[in-house]
Formats: sequence, C-alpha cells, structure tokens
Amino acid sequence: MTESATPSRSEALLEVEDLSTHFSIGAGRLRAVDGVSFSLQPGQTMGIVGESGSGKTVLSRTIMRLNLGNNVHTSGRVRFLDKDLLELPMKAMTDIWGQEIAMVFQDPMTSLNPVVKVGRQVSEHVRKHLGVSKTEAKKLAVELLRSVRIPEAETAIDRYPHELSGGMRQRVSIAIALACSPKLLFADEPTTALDVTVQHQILNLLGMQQQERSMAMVLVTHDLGVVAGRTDEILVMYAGKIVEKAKTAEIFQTTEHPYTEALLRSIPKTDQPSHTRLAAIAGRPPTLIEISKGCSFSPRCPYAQERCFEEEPVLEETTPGHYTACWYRVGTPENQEAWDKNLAAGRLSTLAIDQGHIVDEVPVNVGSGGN
Amino acid sequence: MLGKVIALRMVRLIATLFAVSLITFLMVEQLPGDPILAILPPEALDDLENIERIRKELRLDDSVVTRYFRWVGDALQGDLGKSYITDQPVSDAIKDRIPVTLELAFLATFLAALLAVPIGAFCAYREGSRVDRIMSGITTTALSIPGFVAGIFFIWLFTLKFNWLPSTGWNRISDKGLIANLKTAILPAASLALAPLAINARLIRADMIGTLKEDYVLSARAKGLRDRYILMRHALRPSSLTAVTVFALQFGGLIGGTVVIETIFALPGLGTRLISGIYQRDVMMIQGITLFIASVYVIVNAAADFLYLALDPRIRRR
Ligand SMILES: Nc1ncnc2c1ncn2[C@@H]1O[C@H](COP(=O)(O)OP(=O)(O)O)[C@@H](O)[C@H]1O
Ligand code: SF4
Ligand SMILES: [Mg+2]
Repeated sequence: MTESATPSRSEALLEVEDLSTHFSIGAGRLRAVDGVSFSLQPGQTMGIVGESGSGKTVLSRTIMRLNLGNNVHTSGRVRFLDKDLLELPMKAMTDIWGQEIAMVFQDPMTSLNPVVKVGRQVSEHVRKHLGVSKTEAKKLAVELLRSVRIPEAETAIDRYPHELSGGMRQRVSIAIALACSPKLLFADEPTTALDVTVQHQILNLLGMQQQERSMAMVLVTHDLGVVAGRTDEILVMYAGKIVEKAKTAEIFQTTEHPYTEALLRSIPKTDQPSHTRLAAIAGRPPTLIEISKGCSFSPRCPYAQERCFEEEPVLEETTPGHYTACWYRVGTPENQEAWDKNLAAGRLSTLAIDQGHIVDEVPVNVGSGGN
Repeated sequence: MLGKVIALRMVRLIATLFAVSLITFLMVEQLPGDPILAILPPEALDDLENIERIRKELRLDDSVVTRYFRWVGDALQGDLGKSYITDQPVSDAIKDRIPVTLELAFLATFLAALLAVPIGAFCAYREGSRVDRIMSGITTTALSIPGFVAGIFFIWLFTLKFNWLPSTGWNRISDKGLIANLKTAILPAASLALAPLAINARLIRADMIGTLKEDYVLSARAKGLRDRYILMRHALRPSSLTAVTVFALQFGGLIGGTVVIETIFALPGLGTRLISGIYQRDVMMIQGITLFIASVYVIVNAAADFLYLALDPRIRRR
C-alpha cells in the first residue's frame, strides 16, 4: 500500500494549512504545534512520527477540534472535504465527530468509561448518528465487536472495560471508532500502552479495517518501526514543526533529516531489549516555550554548524514529494563535511554516534545501546 | 477478596456498636442527680427505706459493670428497658416515634439529592461561569446557616407572612392522607435538607469537574455525543457513586439531626421524646433512644460503605 498515484490536491480528503496551536501557560506561550501543513487523500495512511512531546497529540486534536480549555490559541486552516473545520460552529462538529472523523486514543484503560458497559459504549453514538433502535444497536454492537475479533461478542457487550485485557480494550476502542464508518481515523499511539505481542495484532487489525472500509488514517506514533510498511506517507515532527515529509519507502531509503536519521537509529533491533530505544537520541527536546533562533534540533544534532544556531531552516521540497527542513541534509557532501568538522572538534553528540553509544544524562541502558 | 473486605467491616461494625453502647451508658451514668429523685414525688423523698426498696426493685444497687452488661444483654434481645417514670417500654416509645423521624430524614435526603445533583452537575459543566460563582456563594451561605435558624425563618415566611403552611404539629399519613402529611413535613424537612444540599452540591461539582477531565469524557466527545448526554450518561455515573455514598452517610446523621428541628416544629418524633426524657431525667429513655440513634447512624454508615462496593462495577465484579 505504499505506492499509489497522488491525485490532484483538490481531491484531498483533509488539507491542513499552516496550522498552529499555542497554549498560554504561566511561563509564557507554549508552541505545541507551529505552522504545520499537509494533505491526505481518501483511503490513504499518513504516519506522524516524533518523540514524546513533539506535538503529535495536540496536532491530531487540533484538527479534530478536541482541544479544550480557554488557554488554547489555534490558527491556520483545516479543510475536510468541503468544510472548513476551524470555522464550523461547535454544534456542527458533533455531527462530524464519530461519524466522519473518529479517533482511537492511546490508553484504552482511561479512554473507556469504567462504569459503562462495553456494548453501550460501542453503539451509543451509532444510535445518535444513525438513529437506529435499541435492539438494532445491540445487534450492531455485537457485529462490531466481532469485526474487531473480540471472542464471544454476545457476552462481551455486557462486560465492563476492566474485565477485558488491554488488547481487548483497544479493540473495543477501535470498534467504537469504526462504528459509524468514518472517512478518516486518527489513531494516536494506539499501541503504545500495549504489550509488544499485542501491538502487531492491533496494528494489523487497524490496517485491515482501513482497507476494507477504504478509510483514510492518520497513525501517530513515537516509533518509526510502527509505521514502517503501514503508511503511504510519513510526516516527522520535531518541537511542533514538520522537519521531514515523504513517501514511507522514500523516508526509509533516502533519509534526509538528521532527526529522522536519529529516530531510525532508535528503532529497537529485535535482538535488543525494547527499553534501549529511549536512549537513542542524546539530549532532550526543547521545552517549546522559549523560542531560540536557529534550528530547534541544533543542540542535539551531530551535524550542527554555525548557521544552524543562527538561521532556522525552512521546509523545502528537495526531490519531488520529499520535503526537508535542514541546512546540511543527510546524504549530501555538505553533511559529510559537517560531520567531519564536528568529529574533529569533538562535538559530544557527534562523538556519541561515532563511538556507537549514547551520551545522555538519563542512564537508560547506555551500554547495551551500542552492541 | 471482596468476602474478606466485607467480613472485616462487619467485625469493625460490631466493635463500633459496642463502643457506642458503652459510651452512651457511661455518659448517662454521669448525668447529675439520682434517678430515684426524679421518680418519686418530693414529699416521698424523706422515706429513706422506701427509696432503698425502690432502688433494689429497679436493681440500681448493682455495680456499674453489672448494670451495663445487663442493659446491653437485654438490648441485644430487643429489650431496652422501661421508663422509670411512665413505665412505658423504651422500644415502644421508639416504635411510636420513629415514623416521624424517619420520614423527615428521608424527605430531607430526597430534597437534598433532587436539587444537589443538577446544581452540582451544571456548575461543574460551567465551571468558573457566573452561574457557578453565584451558586458557590449561595452554598457557602447555606452552609453557615444552622438548621434551626432556617426552620425559624421558614416558619416566619410560610406561616406568619403567607400563612401557607402550618408551623407546628404533625398529620399522620394514616389519619389525614399524604397531602396533609406533607404539609406538616415539608418545612422541617427543608430546614434539615439545607446543609446536606449545600455540601452535596459542592461535592458533586468538585467530583464532576474531575470526571469531566477524564479521557473517557474526551473520547465520548470524539464520538459526537451531545454535551448533555455526556454529562448525564458518562460523567454523572462515576460521580454519583460518591454522591450516593455521601447521601447515605448524611441520612444517618439526619436521624440524630432531627432532634432540634422536631423541637422547633413540635413534632412527635424520636428527638422530642429524647428531649422530654432529658427534662424528666428519664434515664432508661435517654439511654435507650441515644443508643438507638447512635446505632442507626453507625449501621447506616456501614451500609453506605457496602453500597459503594455494590455500585462500583470495578469493585463489584472483582
Ligand atoms: N492543554 C495543554 N496545555 C498546555 N500545554 C499542553 C497542553 N496539551 C499539550 N501541551 C504541551 O504541548 C506539547 C506537545 O504535547 P503532545 O502533543 O501531547 O506531544 P506528543 O503527543 O507528541 O507526545 C507538550 O509540551 C505538552 O506539554
Ligand atoms: S544540520 Fe543543522 S539544520 Fe540540519 S538538523 Fe542539524 S542543526 Fe538542524
Ligand atoms: Mg501524544
């Protein structure tokens, strides 16, 4: 499902333009999402990848207009079909939520109501949106649970969420999201809270359902390994901005942004314990509150040069369909030069990679990372 | 697991009841004055032999310990003794008076719940709005008004000013029907309801504000459910677990709390009987009614605990 002809822009299901979401907080303005643009065609899958805190959840929720609170400042445009979502009255959004756009949340333990039976949670919005009767809704709930491979669906509808395993609960969340056959599904780290063995089952289930229903999907994750082979396009986010965007295969084969490269390096190898992945990128993401000039990745980048600390790189189309925001893109001679220079100068983040281990204040299995 | 929890609580309940009985007994024992003096007319007080005879007859000459265990032993069999003054068995007095007190407590709880739930839910939903702030002021005020002051105010307003309702007395349902009964019950019940209403409205508000921040409320929104539906079906349910428990707890308190209100409205309830017992130094009556009220309180509290266990599916099915 990686290669398909890109239809013209006007056919896009979702078009996001220069979208920003800032929060006013005590210390100032937190730029959680800053000038993000992308578009998604019907039936396609977009992966949004970035470390925790890079703004993926806020971006998804901004598009769906689920950011609550009076400290939220959103600007930009979100076109969904012929609608300008950010301009719609809230009441109109309730007809889009669940019916046109749905979301699967990260943690099925907290996103399901603990005191409402599973069957009701799966079908209550179907009753509202499609106006079906109570008995029909019950039948539908059973069907939906079956379609997400929940065994003994007839009895499962009368259970409470805590009586199901984590994987089963996430299947319930997926059933809820699919119930009204939405055109677009946001899956925000749908497997992060689950066991590794269950993760693949859930991702496969999502992929299958998506194809069956020819639904578009935005798959949000901090793990590039999750999106590999499951998405058409990938959008890499860092500090609220897109730093690289390309077809999935392209991103893996011709990685251009140093941050993407670092994320790739951090995909856990199967022979390593999974907890080594967190140590893979030295340093921490910026706090998003102070706006430093220059590239936001520069403090951690092994290729960073003078220019990186002064001037912010813009997202540029480097080859058709491949966008990157970096002065010294991976794979260019300039990049090699920058690397050699930093190595000679003994820059810490450069040395770390050169010597095959990770320098980090947080000692998360530093040693085993380089085996 | 759940069985063990229940067993443990039962043990605790029984221990508490014993403690309650002991404290009640000792407190009444400490009341000044010899109970005999309250029984006999003043002119009989010179006849010391007679006094001793009566003391023996009532077995008041036994030691404190003996009398305590006799009293508790009888109480366990449903016998709270007899009034030394009127000869009426204490349990009869309770049976006679409890319907009024119970009705008041039920009615007050019902009124408080009826208003507190929607008020609390709405204020949580509109947290920080003007309505929320006004309600917060009202509940603060309501909390600082003692029940008897509210009672007196209600009498002034509804009886003296508008003459809508009687200020005192009680119509039994069996005698005069429900409407006439409610006419005499509503003002005292409202005075009693004021404090629990204010407390619960705040409690439900605070609880709901927490609930509304839960992920599952957001996911309910993302399903396209309407706010009111989410409020009633998703947010109120978990909060109501707390609310129901608190209402049950307050119900126990109301049984004892009616004493003052019954007196103001001159109602034939348990409270007025207790007060008259105190005036008459009717030791057995005071002891018996106090033990009864305290036990009801303790038992209702325990029941509220169990209720919580029964209502929360996370605990129930474990
Ligand atoms: N309601 C909010 N108020 C203030 N800051 C927020 C709020 N929601 C998220 N943030 C901040 O926005 C940034 C991005 O968060 P998030 O989108 O959750 O990251 P990700 O999903 O990529 O892990 C974080 O720094 C987070 O603390
Ligand atoms: S090379 Fe420079 S511009 Fe590119 S990511 Fe590194 S710091 Fe940023
Ligand atoms: Mg997130």
